[in-house]
Amino acid sequence: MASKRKTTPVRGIILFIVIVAISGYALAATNHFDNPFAEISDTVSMGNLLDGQLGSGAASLDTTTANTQAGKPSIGDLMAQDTSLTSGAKAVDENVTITSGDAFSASPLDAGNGDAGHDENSIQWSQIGDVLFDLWFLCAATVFVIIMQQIVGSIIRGLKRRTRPALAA
Amino acid sequence: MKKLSINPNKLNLFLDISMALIFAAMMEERFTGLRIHEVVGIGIAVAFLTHILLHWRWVVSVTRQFFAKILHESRLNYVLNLALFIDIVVVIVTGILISRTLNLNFGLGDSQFSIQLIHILSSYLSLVIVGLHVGLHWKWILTHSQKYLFNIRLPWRKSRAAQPITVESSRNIPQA
Repeated sequence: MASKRKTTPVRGIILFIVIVAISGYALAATNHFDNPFAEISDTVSMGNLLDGQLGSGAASLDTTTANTQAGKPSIGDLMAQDTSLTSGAKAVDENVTITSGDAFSASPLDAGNGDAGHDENSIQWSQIGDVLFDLWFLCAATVFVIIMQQIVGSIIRGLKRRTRPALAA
Repeated sequence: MKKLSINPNKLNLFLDISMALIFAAMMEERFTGLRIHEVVGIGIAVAFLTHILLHWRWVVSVTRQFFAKILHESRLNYVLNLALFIDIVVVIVTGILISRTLNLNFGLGDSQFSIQLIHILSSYLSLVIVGLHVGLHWKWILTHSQKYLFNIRLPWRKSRAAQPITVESSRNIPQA
């Protein structure tokens, strides 16, 4: 009679982890490594800063700084500019101005892209690296879960082995 | 008349892979352009709803048993899926509110920027949660990908004669 047995494809998992590690290194080498946790923290900080500025009257953002990461605007760059504004420096170029009375009309992600002639209606293949990073992140999270499952599983198995003889005795 | 039969696991697999690929592309608005980002964003909202409907039995059964004795992984799955559901709803709703090419003028005024920040924040968060969601289902994905996508015998799989059944899910309820 055929018995049902669970097997873990160890070699496959190791191969997958190696592929994820190599592709992660390749993405980092091509400046496509944007940590989403850092982006979340930057967005929160930026929101707090801008909230403060909107409340105090007026603020302006210089959005023309060229970006260092393959033309992609980073919230960190906007943050850096924003911090300089709060410290007293004046914006030189005012492409986007936020005042407490005006509606915001430009996306923060549109700002400072260094991507001249960006067409909003077509696919920009030059940004494919960022999409690959997102796919890589999904794979990296899978690797993280697999490793955590193995660690937690081995700890639980070890605990069970220790408690069973004690219970039997 | 020929009866149309759809394998739910196969449908789930192809829908989920498509959703993951489109989701990664949607995360980068600069890649797709705003128009495609907004139109396909609406499409992925429909796919998201379909995904939940396909796993509705799992949702109902785990919700009923949540406070009873169930496996930790199911409970973790449930909490993660709930967080993902809330996050994706926030992404979709804020995305519709701030849309600029769909001709939907909600007259948000000053709050537009705050909503935009919430949209960005929740989308980054969704990448993290979707990553964990995919990670928690790697066995299901591996098993069904081998079965329906790469109908080949991978090197680490022993012959079926020696080992009749490997990681085949025998549960009737599909995993969410």
